[in-house]
Amino acid sequence: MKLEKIYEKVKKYLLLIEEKDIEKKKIKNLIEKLDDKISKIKDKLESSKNIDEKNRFIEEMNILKKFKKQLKDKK
Amino acid sequence: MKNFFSYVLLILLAYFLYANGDSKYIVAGVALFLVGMNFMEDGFKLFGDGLLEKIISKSTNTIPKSVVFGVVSTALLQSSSLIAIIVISFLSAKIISLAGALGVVFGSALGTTVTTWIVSTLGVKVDIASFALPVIIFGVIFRFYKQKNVQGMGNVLLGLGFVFLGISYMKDGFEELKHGIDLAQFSVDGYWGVIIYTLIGLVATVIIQSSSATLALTITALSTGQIIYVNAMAIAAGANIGSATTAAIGAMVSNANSKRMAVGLFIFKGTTSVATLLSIYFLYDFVNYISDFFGVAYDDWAIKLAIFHTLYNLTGLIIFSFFIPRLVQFLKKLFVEKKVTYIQKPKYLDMEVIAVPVVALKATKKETIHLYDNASEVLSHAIMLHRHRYLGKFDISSVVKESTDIIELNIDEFYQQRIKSLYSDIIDYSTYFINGLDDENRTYLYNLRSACRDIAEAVKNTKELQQNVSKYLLSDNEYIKDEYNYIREAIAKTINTINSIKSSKDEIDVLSKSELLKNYLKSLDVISTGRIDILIREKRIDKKMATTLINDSAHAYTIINKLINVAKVLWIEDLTITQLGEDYEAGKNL
Repeated sequence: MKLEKIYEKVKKYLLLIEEKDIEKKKIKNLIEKLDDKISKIKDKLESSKNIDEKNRFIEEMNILKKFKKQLKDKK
Repeated sequence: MKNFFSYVLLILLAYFLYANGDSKYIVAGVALFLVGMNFMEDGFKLFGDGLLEKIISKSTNTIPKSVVFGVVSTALLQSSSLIAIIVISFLSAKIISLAGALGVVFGSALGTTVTTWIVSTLGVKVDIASFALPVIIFGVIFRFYKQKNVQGMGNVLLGLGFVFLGISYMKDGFEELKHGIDLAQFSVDGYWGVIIYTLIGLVATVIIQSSSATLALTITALSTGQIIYVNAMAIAAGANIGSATTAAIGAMVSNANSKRMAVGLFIFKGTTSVATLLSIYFLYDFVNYISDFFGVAYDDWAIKLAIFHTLYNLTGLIIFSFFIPRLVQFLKKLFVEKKVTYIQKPKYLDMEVIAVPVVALKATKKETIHLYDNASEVLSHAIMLHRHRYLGKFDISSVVKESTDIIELNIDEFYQQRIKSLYSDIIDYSTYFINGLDDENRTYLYNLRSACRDIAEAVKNTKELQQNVSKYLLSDNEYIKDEYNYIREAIAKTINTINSIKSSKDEIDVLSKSELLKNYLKSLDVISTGRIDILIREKRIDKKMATTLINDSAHAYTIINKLINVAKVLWIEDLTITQLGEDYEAGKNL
């Protein structure tokens, strides 16, 4: 019984950094990064007066929003 | 000749083992020691998972940092050859400087003295054979785990176990041998003895290919009284020259940077060893003085040898560290890098690097970037633009309109000399290390190969486009000229965006910029945008021009699409982000 417990503890220690956990953490970090980028582009969009530039910002923001949605679905 | 020599050696070894039964334990001990070192080396390759490579690239920007790194890493990993292999590969890939690489390998020489200490303290004083078997058992168990890090730990333990077992066999072998034959009777005192035993140390290291194994053998022989201390000192110095000789011979067929490093190491080790040998009796007294000071027993020769080994490597390192910049200058003059030949040779594909598959993968990536750079040059010239005129510029449209000079270029010739040859080299090189990669890295290598194919196809697609660009660039018909300028602008914008992506460390940024480019690409299609209908209907261009334009816009579309895919492969390594890009593409197609 004791041996089994020790084995479980060792196994737990060795599997401490399980691949799934890393992936989840990575996705969470990516979503945060995307949020940050989207808010920065929003600021740029508000201050920009050039229509072409504005369109490009909107386009980029839409892409980033889609990325975020995809990651959320994955999560 | 080399084969003949090795066969003679094998026959001699077989006869030696047959004629002298007692010696088999010593030889088996050396063999087990080497097997152990190999396991440890493999273990650290798996265990680190690229960590070692990351640390090296960040710890070699100054000479003191690289020296300290060389000492510490070799002391921890117990393998100067692993460090040397990685350093050579980084040097070949031009990730670290020659001065940094020399600092690491010089420091590494001092780091190897830790092995001497382990053997002379634990090895000959403790019954390490009793530790060896449990360590091997745990090593084997860990190797069954799925995680690479645990597998690596298993290999390290297995290696350590074999090293312990090897030392124990050597020790037993010398004890056994003592009953039959006393090697100490062959001891030669004086400078004559120093020369003979230096040569023995040198030849033994060149044959065994490991100065650590030679030293382990020497220490065990010394502790069992089979050789005298002064002769052991000479063997240690000879082993030092031997290890540098092996590296120098190996590097002679390699590139200029590897030659520079190997010769630099040879100068360092050779000079240190010769200076040591010339002052061996002074060092003998000095080591005795230090040993007395630290209370080491008079007849504890193993520890004294460890002190001697550390002392002369440390002195050599301190003196040589100050001369690294001068040594670099001298070596750069001695081995001049060959200028780029007409048929482009790969810059980063070094065969020595394939011993570390992860580093070889990095070299392959760098070579693919090199291939891309060649391709972007030919693409720019094909659309009659010089890269320096538009890279980093905001208003590329004006640059395109202003650049009307025809650039003469034979695309077939360029393809054969600068694209096809490199492409073939990359594919050939990657076959040598693909089996050593884990699944994730292997997938990345497949992607790199696809990127190479895309680059080659993009260049091939440029041929027809080039002919028509040069034809319509000087046309009187402003409409067709504008359409071709639009194509030129699109390609230039793509190369410019990819150029900005190259320096970006944010992979999400790389992905979003690539997707933005793809969105922009839609405007290139003269059919779906309806532009072709207007041009024909309003008789702005004739029908022949129209079909040529339709074809060329399709060519440009393919070229740009391929370049974007290449950029994604080259500058997005994170599999989660790659997957994100693929999902996004799939979502668009639904």
